Amino acid sequence: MLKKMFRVPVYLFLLALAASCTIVHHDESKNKNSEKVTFYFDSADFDAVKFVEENWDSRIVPEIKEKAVPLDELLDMIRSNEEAAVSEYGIKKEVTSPYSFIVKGKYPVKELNRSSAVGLLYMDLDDLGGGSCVLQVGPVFKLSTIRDSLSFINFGDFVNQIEFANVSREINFYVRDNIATVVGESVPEESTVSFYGAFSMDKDGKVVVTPVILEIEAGD
Amino acid sequence: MVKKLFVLLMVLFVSMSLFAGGQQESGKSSSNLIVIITPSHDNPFFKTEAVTADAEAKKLGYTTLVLSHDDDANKQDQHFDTAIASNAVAIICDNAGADATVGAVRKAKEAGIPTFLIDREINENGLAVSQIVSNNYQGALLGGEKFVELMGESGKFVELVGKESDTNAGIRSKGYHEVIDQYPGMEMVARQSANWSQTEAFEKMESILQANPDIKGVISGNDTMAMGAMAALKAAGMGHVIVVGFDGSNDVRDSILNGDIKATVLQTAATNAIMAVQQADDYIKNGSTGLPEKQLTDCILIDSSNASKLDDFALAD
Repeated sequence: MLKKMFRVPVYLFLLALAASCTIVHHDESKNKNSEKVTFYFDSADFDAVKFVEENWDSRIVPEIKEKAVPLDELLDMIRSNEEAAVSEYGIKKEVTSPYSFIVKGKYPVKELNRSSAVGLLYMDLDDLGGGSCVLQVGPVFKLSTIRDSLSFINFGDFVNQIEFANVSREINFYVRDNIATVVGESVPEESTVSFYGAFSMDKDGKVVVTPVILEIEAGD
Repeated sequence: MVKKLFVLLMVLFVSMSLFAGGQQESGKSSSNLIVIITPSHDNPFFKTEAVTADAEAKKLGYTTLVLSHDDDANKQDQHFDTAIASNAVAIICDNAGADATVGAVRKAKEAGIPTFLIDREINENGLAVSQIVSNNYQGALLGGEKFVELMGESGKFVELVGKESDTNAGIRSKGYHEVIDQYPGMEMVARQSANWSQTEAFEKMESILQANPDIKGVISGNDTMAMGAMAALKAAGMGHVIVVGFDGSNDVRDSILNGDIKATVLQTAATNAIMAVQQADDYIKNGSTGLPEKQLTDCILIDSSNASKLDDFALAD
């Protein structure tokens, strides 16, 4: 009986969730082919846009802020004792996936590279492979690092891979449209960047952070 | 109180009869049979799954029955019936359709036989014990990014899509488009399903080329279709066209080393098959795998830099 009573609010919640779903079309200029292309099993039952919008301020940003470690300190720890760093801060939801880390920091900007659509902001901070740490600033974002770092988004909670993929896509689009917009075509000299975000361990030692909070301060 | 006692007695009764049944059955057939069901072994990907799962099961002391459903859900149903009639201890299955397989897995579950799905998922949770699938989304993003890079971020291209009943066809196409569609210079001139088939891809590509002789690239949902497309392109004197596949087969490895196909995305088929058998073993012995039902294994980009290390869907360190 108790169990049954518990179920009622869950059903109500699901019902409310279903009722609140609307189909949101993307701006065609940003995703020009998607209007013409449909995907098998890609149903409108689950609205990933809404999911991300509803969770951004209430869950996504708070979790990243709460768990973030200063990037320079984390990298020092990985250099001196990778095992300890991984066991303390590494996030890994699947057996063969790389470890992700939730990080924050404030570092001088070295360079903004917009030669590819995957815009990269280089920071004055060494990565683990002989280069500099970078922030992805779009408009194209690679990887699903933010989704894969968050404890409340798990594959098993979604009907199939398509829904799960939609969540990551919409997180990246949200970052593109609302977060990375502070970075223009160029950055003033001697700028500083502060951020909260996440990166996944890379076999070449590159550190590519996807931000959820991003601020640029111009130098004097 | 009386009710509670009654329930307790019922539980005791049921579990005792189950125990007896189990003993009787194991006595009757001494079943330690694992049934391995995959699509046709004509595709080396499925053959690797079957051969690897078979070897791992035998290594762990099980007998095996290896069957193919040839992507026919009715045939798959019959194979599940065979597994149930033979009192199998587990079914390892690369299934014949995300919706069409739900019933078969449920039937096996009701008969007390746990199913461990590999490669392809089903659109229902809580029926199979494990669903171990490649991280197709992550893999498709890798393939899409490589394709865009090879294309120099612009040009006309064709997409070959897989079988409609398979969520993997949808997810790979989605991953590709998620990357490609963000580049204004990339122009898709044709998109067709070739049902994962090499011969179908060859024929479709031939007719696509008649209307579009100026394409720069072809992105394919799997390796067999990539092989078919490459053959059609070469036959038309267009061997220079950039082709990217998905799977990591030895055929495509050789094609990459030969300078024909440019890249593919490796799904660790052998690893997934071994994981499934080991989880079946854990489940048979302990009643639990200790893992979530749905599991993803990451894919690896293969190009001319690492193709030589690829063999039978595994990359040497």
